[in-house]
Amino acid sequence: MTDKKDKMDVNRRNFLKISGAAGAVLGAAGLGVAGYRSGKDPQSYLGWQSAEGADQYFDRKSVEVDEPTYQIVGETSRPDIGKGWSGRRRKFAMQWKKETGFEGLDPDLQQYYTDHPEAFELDRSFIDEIRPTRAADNKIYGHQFRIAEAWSNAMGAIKPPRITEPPEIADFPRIAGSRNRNSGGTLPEPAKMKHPAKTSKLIKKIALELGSSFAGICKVNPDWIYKDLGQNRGFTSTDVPKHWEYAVVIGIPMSWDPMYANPNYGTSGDAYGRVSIVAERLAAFIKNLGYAARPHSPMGGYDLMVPPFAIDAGLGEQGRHGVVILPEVGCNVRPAVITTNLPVIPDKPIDFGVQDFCKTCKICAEVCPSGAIPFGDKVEVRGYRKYQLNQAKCSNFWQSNLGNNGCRLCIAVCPYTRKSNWMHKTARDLSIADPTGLMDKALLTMQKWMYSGPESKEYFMPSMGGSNASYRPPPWWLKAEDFIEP
Amino acid sequence: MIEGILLCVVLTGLKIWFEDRRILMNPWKWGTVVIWFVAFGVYVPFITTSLGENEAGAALKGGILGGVILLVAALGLWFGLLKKRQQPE
Repeated sequence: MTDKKDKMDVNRRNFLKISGAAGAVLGAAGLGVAGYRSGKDPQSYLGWQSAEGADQYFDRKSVEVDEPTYQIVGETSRPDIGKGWSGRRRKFAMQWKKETGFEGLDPDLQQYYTDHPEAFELDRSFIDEIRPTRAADNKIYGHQFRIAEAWSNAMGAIKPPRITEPPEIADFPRIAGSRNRNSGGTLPEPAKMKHPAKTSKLIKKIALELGSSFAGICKVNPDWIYKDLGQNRGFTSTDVPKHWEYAVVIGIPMSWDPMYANPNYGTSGDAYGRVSIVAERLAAFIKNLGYAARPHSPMGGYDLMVPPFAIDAGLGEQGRHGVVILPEVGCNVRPAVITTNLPVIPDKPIDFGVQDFCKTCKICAEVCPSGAIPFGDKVEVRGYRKYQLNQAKCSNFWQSNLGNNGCRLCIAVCPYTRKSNWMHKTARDLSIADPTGLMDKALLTMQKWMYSGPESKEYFMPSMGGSNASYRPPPWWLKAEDFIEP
Repeated sequence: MIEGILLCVVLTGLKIWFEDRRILMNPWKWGTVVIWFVAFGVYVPFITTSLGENEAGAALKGGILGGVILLVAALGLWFGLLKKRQQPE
C-alpha cells in the first residue's frame, strides 16, 4: 500500500514538474507572440489606424460568395431619378399653389397623383403643414441643437467642385505645365500596371491612406446607373460611359455618439463630408496614373445608386431599411464610388447572414416614426427583389424633425450597428457561426430587451405630438444648453 | 498574464477548500466549476463594458438576468457537490 502511494506521489510530482515546464514554455511563447502583434498592431499607428486596416478588420474571405445576396426576379432596368420621389417632390414644390390646387400641376404630375393618391397627400402635407410647423417649432425649441447644427454644417464646409463637363472629358486626366496636374493640357500616358491583382491591392490601400475606412472593388453594373443621369453633371447622353468599367467603393462611418443621438443631434454631414473628400482624392490619384476616374459622392453629386455597388464590392449586404450593413460597423457607414477604367480585379460579394436576420428582426420597422420601412416581405423593384421603402414618408419625417436634417434612427437601432468591442464582435461572430438561427433568436431577444429606446411618436417635434426625443442622450459636446446662453 | 496567475491561484485555493471540506472532486465536477468561472468572467466585463459604452440600461438588465442565472447555477453546483463528500478513513 505504501509503495503504491509513493509511486502515485512520484507520478503526481513528475506531472506537476512537466506541467510547470510546459506552462513556462507556453507562457514565454505567448509573451513573444503578444509582443510581435503589439509591434504590428494597426492601433499603434496613432492618427492613421484606418490606413493600416484597423477599421476594415473583418475576414471577408470566410463569408465570400459567388453571387450577391440580392436576387434578380424579372427584367432589370436602370432607375430614373427624375421620376423617383425626390424629382417628383422638387417639381411639386415648384408648381404647388393653394389657389390653383391640383389643377395647377402639370399633366404628368396630375396623372401620377391620380394613380398614387397617398403620394399627393404626402407631398402636399410636406409643403402646406410640415415645413411651416417646423419653422415655428424651431424658434421655440431649436436652441438646444445649435451646436449640433454648427458641427454638421462645418463638416460639410469643404465641397468638391461640381463636374460640368461630359465624362469623356471630365473623367480623363490632363497634365498642364502648371502646379495643377488635373486640368488642361495633354493626356499623360497611362502607367503600365504590372498585374490587375497587384493594382487592386494598391488602390484599396491608397483609398485607406487617403482617409477611407473601407474599400472594395466591383465591376460597374449599368442597372445601378441613373437612366436620366438626373443630377446632370455635364452629360450629353444617357448611355453609360464605356470607360466606366470598374468601381472602387469607399466608406466612412458617422461619428458614433452623435449617431446614437439621432434623429436630431446626429448628422450625415460628418461622414458625407469626409467620404466626399476621399472620393475626390482617389479620383485624382487614379488620374495621376493616367487612367479615367469619376467620383460619385454625397457632396460632389451622384450619377448612380451607391448601395448596390457596396454590395457588389463585398463590403456588406443590404438590410430591411435599405442601408448597406457591414460586418465591422453595421449600417453606420456612408459610401461613395469612383468609376474608372484602371485595370483591377473585382472583390467577391459576401453573405454573413443579414438576409435571414432581417426577415425576423424588424427593429428598424418598429422604431421608424414615419412607418416608411416595410414589415412585409421583399417585392420586385425594376427586376430585383428587395425591401421597398416609402421614401416620401421617410422624407416627411426627416425633413420635419428639429436639429440636423435627417433621421438615421434605423441606422442607430440596427442590432448590427454596435461599437467595435469584444462584446458585440463576439455576438456577431456567434451569429455568423451558428447555422441553426438559434443564436440570432437569442441575440435578437436580448437586443430588443436591453437596447430599447423611446416610443416612436416621441421622436416627432412637439407640434406633431412628440417631444424631440433622441434614441440616446447626446454626447456632452453637443449639449448647446451647457455652452450657449438661451 | 496577471489574470491567468490569479485564476491559477483561485483554482488552487478552491482545490484546498474542497479538500478541507472533504468534497470529492473529479474531472467532470472540475469542468463544471471552470465553466461557471468562465461565465462569471464574461458576466462582469459585460456589465462594465455596457457602462463604458453608455448603455446603462443594458448593464442593469443584463446584470440582473446574468446575476440570477449565475446564482442559480452556483447553488445547483454547491448542492450537487455537497452530495458526494469524501468518506473519512
